[in-house]
Amino acid sequence: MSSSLEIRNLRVAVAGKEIVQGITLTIRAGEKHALMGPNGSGKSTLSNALMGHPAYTILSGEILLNGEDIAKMPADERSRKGLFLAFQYPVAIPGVSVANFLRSAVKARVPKNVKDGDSEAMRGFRKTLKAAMDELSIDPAFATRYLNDGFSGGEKKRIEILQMAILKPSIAILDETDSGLDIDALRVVSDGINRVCGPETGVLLITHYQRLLNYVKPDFVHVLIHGRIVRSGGPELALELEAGGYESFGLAPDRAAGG
Amino acid sequence: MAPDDAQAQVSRIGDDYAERYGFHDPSEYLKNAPVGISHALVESMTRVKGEPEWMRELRHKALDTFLAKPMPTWGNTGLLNAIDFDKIHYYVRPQDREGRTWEEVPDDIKKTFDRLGIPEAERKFLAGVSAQYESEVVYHSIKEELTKQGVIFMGMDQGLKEHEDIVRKYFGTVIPVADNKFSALNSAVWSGGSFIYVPKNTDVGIPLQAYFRINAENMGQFERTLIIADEGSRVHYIEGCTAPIYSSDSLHSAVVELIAMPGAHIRYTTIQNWSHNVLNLVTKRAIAHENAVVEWVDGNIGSKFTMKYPCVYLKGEGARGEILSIAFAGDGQHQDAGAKMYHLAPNTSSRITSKSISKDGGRATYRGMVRVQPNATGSKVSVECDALLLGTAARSDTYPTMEVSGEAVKVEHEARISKISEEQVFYLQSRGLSADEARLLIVNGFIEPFTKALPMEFAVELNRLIELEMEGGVG
Amino acid sequence: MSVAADGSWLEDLRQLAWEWYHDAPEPSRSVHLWRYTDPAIFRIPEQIIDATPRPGLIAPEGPIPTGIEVLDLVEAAMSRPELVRDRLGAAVRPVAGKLEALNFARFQHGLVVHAPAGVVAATPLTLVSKLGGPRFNASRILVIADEDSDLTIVRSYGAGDRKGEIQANGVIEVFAGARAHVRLIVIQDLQPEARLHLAQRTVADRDARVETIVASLGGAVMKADIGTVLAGKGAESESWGVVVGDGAQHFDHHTVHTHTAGHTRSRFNYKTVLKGHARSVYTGSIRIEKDAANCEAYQENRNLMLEETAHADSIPELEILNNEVQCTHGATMGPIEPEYLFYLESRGIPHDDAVRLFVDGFVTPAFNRVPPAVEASLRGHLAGRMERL
Repeated sequence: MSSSLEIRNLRVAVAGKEIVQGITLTIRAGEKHALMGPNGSGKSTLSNALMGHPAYTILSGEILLNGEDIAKMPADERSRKGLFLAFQYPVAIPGVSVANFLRSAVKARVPKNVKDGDSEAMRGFRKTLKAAMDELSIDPAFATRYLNDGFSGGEKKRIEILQMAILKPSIAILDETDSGLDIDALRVVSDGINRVCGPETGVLLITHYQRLLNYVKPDFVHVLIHGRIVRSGGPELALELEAGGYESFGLAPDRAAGG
Repeated sequence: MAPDDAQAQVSRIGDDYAERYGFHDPSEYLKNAPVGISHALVESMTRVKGEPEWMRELRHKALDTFLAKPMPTWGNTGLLNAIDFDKIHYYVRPQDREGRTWEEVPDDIKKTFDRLGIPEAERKFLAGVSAQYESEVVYHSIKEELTKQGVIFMGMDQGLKEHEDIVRKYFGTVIPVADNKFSALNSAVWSGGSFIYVPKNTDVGIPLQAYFRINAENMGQFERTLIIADEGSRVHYIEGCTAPIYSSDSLHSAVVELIAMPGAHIRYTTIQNWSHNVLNLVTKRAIAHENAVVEWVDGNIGSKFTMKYPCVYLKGEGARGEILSIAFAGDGQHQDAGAKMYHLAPNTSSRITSKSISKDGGRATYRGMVRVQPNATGSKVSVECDALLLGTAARSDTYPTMEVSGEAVKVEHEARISKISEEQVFYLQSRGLSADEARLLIVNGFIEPFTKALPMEFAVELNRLIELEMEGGVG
Repeated sequence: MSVAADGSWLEDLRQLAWEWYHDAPEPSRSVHLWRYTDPAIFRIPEQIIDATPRPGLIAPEGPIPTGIEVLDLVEAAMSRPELVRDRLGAAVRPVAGKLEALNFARFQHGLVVHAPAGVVAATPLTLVSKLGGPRFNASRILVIADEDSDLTIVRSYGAGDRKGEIQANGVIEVFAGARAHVRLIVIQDLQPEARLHLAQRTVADRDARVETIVASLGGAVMKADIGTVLAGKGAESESWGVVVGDGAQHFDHHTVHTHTAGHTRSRFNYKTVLKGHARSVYTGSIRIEKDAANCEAYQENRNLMLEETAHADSIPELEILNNEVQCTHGATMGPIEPEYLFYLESRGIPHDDAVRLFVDGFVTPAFNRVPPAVEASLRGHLAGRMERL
């Protein structure tokens, strides 16, 4: 079956306040969707709710991953079912090396009754990791460094993409993956996204600015304002936004000036 | 000790013996599995062991000191004052150890052996079912190698017999008998422990491991260890194991003395996993001479209550001390552990890293002392204490003491108390790990600086052990 | 419950405190509080304990802020028992220790400072003691800040005309009601022969905010036991200490922050500058009680050692019984980093001025929150102290 993520009439609250106010969106394998919106429009709320962050309450609606409702599942189950979120602000976990962490994540996907030695994924882990790091031009030394501990903004984002390469999700959500990157880092990270997301992967790119979309070409663009998608269209919509700003989509000028 | 030897000792009993202690046949006395402490017990121990007169005197004096010294008024006074010294077996000959059956060993201990994959023979020894466990093959090859290097590595009792001159010169010089109540107790009734001498400029390449992997004789409740690393030598000693050591007796009180001669390097690694009924009250101290390095790597997982503060006297210029410790206090446990550094010479440096985890009703206490004497100019000290609280009933205490004289020194101390962040758990969950797996990974990351200092197989076992300890609900 | 209108209740309690003082053993040196200071320093021959009332021992300086009541403590015990009776001795208990009992039994002058509900004092209240006259000096201040009040008090110990040894014993109790905001600045700049024992406790009720500064500059020996109980949800405490010592000065500061209510915050920072054979002892404890969830506590003690004959002791303790907590502490001891001095000197600043400049920067954060007039006074005392270094 071809992968898909269907979001139906999703409403999400944080600390008792409704932020996402009814979003409907379907992402299929091979498609790249860009979700654009100003600060405070609900972009990060949506991505956290999709991944199952406990602080985000789903008020109503459905999240179907490959036809199955995942809205009540804990985050790890969603992950094992093929959903991936590249975080805007990945947290640091001191003492846990990147390799050790990824090995644990891969192992979590191997059935409990299968021994490491009998699992292709576990036996080949070291090779897979090395190949993925090579492919994404990540210094092999990062394998032994502690996860996101003391990493620069660009390094953290590259390690997020590395995780995506290893875990091979069917649906990937990239939350402001371009934020905090200079132009060279942006090119490297975008290049990574393009390599990792093939025809089997559906992608939701969440971004404030259009510039990431110069490198990762979306098939569809959606504009999110005040927790609702106000317009959907093709790549030309992003250019329209670039020219006219969020004001042209009915947002008050002071709200549109984000950063 | 063989019974024949014991008989031989009996014949050498002094004339005043009966007068002083009121009975005639110490071997009879010992047969009756003596409990309680007395000069009579000390006398019979020293005679059965065939010790020299100076040791006999030392033991008796130590007993007087023990009896005279009050209980510490700090730590966990409730537990300390509840110790019934009359109910403890102070000396058990190896042949008396046997008698417990495998069925009597508590289930949780058996389960832990299972999970750690401890071999059958070792299990029985660790559970106190068998008195002897010697991995002959390993032991002999190591022994040959050591002999070639001139390294002495044997039980403390044997050391006293074969190298009395060295033992007499150093015994009790790092930790005087009267240092504290429990060092006095140990000095009075010590038995077992390791004696190690490393000759000048000798690098003992492999870690020397005490008891269960090598030599049963080293294990005991009041063991005494003395390590002397001569100039420019290097040795790593490992004591204990990750497997739980089951003892039906309630008190373990060891004394460990290390002497690092100029330029020597000693690392002493302990993983303490006594069963949860044991009070573990241990004194550990090292002297580091010029440019010597002493490292204590100290892990406390087991016991009901531990009081242990490894210490380094930085006595020679340029000496360096490092103490790396972790403590895991689960429900009903109190780990009162810490570190002491005394800077007594110029340009000495020390670093203390303490990591504690208190879970559920557990209590972990860091207790530290850093002293920089006026002449210790150019010295540097850094102390870092991290505590992790798991569950609402856990408790963490930090009691550091710093006494610093002089301008040309640098002392830094930092402590942080935290719990596992929900953001970290969510991040790991978003990559497919369950919430429990995520917490375990975070805890293992937390103690990683410690695990890193262990030989590979110990590190693996320790991680498995932490997994066991973490099982069950964690808030 | 009926209250004796004649104030005899206080007389009775003071008599009991005297008996307790009389019978109490010397403080034990085995506890941290007295580990580094010999209690004998504060042992006072009974014949010099003179409890004759000394109105004026604590003298308000400048006008009393509008709306604030300043009453004589003994008189207030008679005229306003409802204000005094439940609070006097409740924060610094007479049985807390021998010297606390002595103060209760034999204080020569006491004041009650009362900020009624909602009163916001526009100016600081300054209370000065300049120690002259008898060798034994004991004073006591009870501060009651009712809900929503706002008050700044400067408690200043200045050099008086008495030569020779002085034994000063001070107690300050502060009750900060719900949402009250109290600032208490203690400046100790006594003559070189003085010995001061100061016990200070603050009880902070719901959403109260308490800021304290203790600047310990003068005297021969100062021992201070300063604490805050965060007793109401949302209460906050911020404490600063500045110690500058040289010669043979001995400072021993003990702080206690007890979080008994949830959502409370405490922060404190003690800065010490030492020269000569001066010694500073800092022992502190933060305790988060079992039911006090979501507390934050920070504890910092920095010691700047300007000469190698100086000595500093530091025991910053934590006792954490609740896991919903953010708590850190730190302590350092060391000289001024040579790079800093080099940088200043490379700009043409003479060495001694560079040291002063650095020390000034080191202690300045302590003065950030006080009203300008109080800051000027603090800086004046500090500058005077630095001149003498």
